[in-house]
Amino acid sequence: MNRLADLEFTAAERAEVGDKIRAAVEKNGLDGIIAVDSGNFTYLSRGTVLPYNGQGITLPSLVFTGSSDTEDFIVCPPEMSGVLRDQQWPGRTGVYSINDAAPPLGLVGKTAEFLKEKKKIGFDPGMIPADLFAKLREALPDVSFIEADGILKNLREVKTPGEIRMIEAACRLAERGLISALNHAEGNVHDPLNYYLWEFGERIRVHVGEFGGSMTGHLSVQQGAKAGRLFAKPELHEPFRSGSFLRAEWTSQNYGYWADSCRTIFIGEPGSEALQAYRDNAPLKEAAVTALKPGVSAADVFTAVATASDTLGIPFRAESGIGHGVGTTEMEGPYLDETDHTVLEAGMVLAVGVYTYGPAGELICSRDIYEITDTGNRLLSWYKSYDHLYSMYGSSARHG
Amino acid sequence: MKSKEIHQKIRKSAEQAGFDALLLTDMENIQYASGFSLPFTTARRTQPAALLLPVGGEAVLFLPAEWADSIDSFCRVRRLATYRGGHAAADLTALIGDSLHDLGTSADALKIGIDLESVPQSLFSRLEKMKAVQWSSCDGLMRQLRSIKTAEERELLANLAMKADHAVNGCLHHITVDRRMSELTLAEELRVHSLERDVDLQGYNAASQVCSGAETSEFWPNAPKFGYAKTKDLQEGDTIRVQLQLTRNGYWGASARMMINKSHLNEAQEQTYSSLNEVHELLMSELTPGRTCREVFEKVAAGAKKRGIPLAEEFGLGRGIGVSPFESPYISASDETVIEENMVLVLDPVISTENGIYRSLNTVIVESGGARIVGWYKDWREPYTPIMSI
Repeated sequence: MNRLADLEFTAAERAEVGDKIRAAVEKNGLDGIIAVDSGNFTYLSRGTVLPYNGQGITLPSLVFTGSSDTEDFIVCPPEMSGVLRDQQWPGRTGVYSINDAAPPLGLVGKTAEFLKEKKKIGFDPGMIPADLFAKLREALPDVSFIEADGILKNLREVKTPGEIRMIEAACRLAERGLISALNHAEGNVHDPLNYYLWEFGERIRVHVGEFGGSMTGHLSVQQGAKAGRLFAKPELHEPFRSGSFLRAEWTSQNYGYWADSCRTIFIGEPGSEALQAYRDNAPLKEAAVTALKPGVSAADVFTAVATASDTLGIPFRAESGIGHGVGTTEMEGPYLDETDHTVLEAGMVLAVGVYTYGPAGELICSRDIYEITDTGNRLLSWYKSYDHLYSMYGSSARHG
Repeated sequence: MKSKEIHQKIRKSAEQAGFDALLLTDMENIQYASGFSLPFTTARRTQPAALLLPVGGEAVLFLPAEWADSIDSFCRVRRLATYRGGHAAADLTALIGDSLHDLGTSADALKIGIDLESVPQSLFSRLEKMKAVQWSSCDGLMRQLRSIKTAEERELLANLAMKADHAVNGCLHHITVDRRMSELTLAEELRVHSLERDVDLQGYNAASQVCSGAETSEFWPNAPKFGYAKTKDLQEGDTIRVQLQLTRNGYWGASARMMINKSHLNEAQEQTYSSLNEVHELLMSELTPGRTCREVFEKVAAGAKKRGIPLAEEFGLGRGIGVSPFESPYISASDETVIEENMVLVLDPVISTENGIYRSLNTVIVESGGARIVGWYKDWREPYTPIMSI
């Protein structure tokens, strides 16, 4: 029971990720790998999270993972020093200031001090800005920069047991966030004095945090016709509308490991049409889950859903694919769509959800997260089942 | 931002710089130029977007197919080119190539400005291989354009600054010294109070943070739970720092303010807060159009040193705010940007002592005679102090 109550990496779990990275570095003849983007940064630093690293609200930081802790370093602005210390970053830290040089030259200069003796450095060309890359090359003319996106893809897509535990914990926190928001809303959902839709969304975030979640990322609640779009902002003063589907989408992380969640519920008593629309989603998702096993390509899983859709006459929104990996980012490979031919392996973790359509064109989806096992898959987002359409009832304005 | 003014401003500057078109890949640049924004784009880097903005001709927005139906009325671009799947660099390159082909009617190479500080190396290395296209950085041009706000932008940013400060006051109003409240409760209250002031429901960094007591000595306490806070109770006499960011229609407001959890400040708190006031006064007196950011920084830093103020210079003294809560210019020793009228800046000097890190973010609009503070719900020359009991 306590397996998921300990939210952070254990020392052994963290070391396992580090050992895996170092083995890949050595195997590929590299001195190490650098990264500046949020996903690679957290991965290479074995779970170190910077504040809103993807959103660029601070000066950039760079991580290098080499052959040992003593080789590893992070270059960061001064406000990150405490952040690294608090997360027990085991490597060295180099600090640059906004006063040193115009961005990103301060980062480049300090990084070059650490890397000047190195020969072969891996980097992810899809995640490093061209200007920063050019300046690093200029500052380190004797270093060979090797494209390591393939290495990072292989490393990150197949998770260690510790990483899977972290994601499972993230799923549990995410689901508890929604349930708590529902519990608060249900007492007053039909009351004209009820709070607005935004507050329901905010309560998801609040409860993810109260249960121990580290951060909520994407946060969207859409109802009625607006739920027919992948994303639409709620109106400022939008009340719950009885007789509507409501789709909540939110991403949240547990110490750097993400869940990508989506649930569709109904406000009030659903009619037969709504119930049927919700039931229609199940066989397409089931087709995906049945296909989700080692040895099958990501594209094949998508094809299984497309085939079921044709056979059953249930249309789905193909342009969104039907899922993707999660890990140190909320969306990463493999992508369960027609273009990704990555072969699934045990240890991969995928968010799977099919968007089908409600009577008014609403997008209906119930996204779950699965680990690929040696023989098939295992549900990680098991906290509460949404196999049947969840209905919000209630009439009191006093519930809070 | 529905105004066409920004669009026209960019085209004119691009033309004056000799560009045939701009290709923007930074999501904030794209939003600035087109009005298009989705809250999750910065977190999903494997799904890049781009905007081609010819100096004459129709703009094209390149994006993943699944985003297309989420474009709202604020997006000024109507021509979309979409891709599907996870091979973004290759797919985007092909789409961009097609659109550039439509542009290139003369024998001369097209001169395209691109934001090299954002475009991923994998995409740029493909673009560089295109024939008859000359790529040059437009980062400086975009920085300059974004830093000078239109009247509509200034109005929205001033409004958001006020909402942020109003949220702080509305939230702190609920505190009574002798009643229990945890940091986490206060942080949640702060976020709810911002949303109550008609801003957008958004995740990520549209968040709030509270720290008290010893934790105020950290710049980013509570790692990695930066958008939440500890369940630790506020104590009588604590120094408390509250911080928040909020957003509406893609633009940002930010606030960080200090509260002392008692009717009277102790001597150390009084001294530290007075230092913060002094640096803010120095900043306001030095921040005038025509000076560079470096000059302002150096004058303020020298003034603080002369007065023996423990200014933490390494953080700089402030920055711009707009479609990003953290953007150029930076009031620091390394920024040679000349301060101009109609810039909107967040002044953020940091006083760091053993009593904690004291911050008080003032949003200002630069006018001909100097900077004008916008968004003060109350006069922040004194920190907030709650009632002791009810």
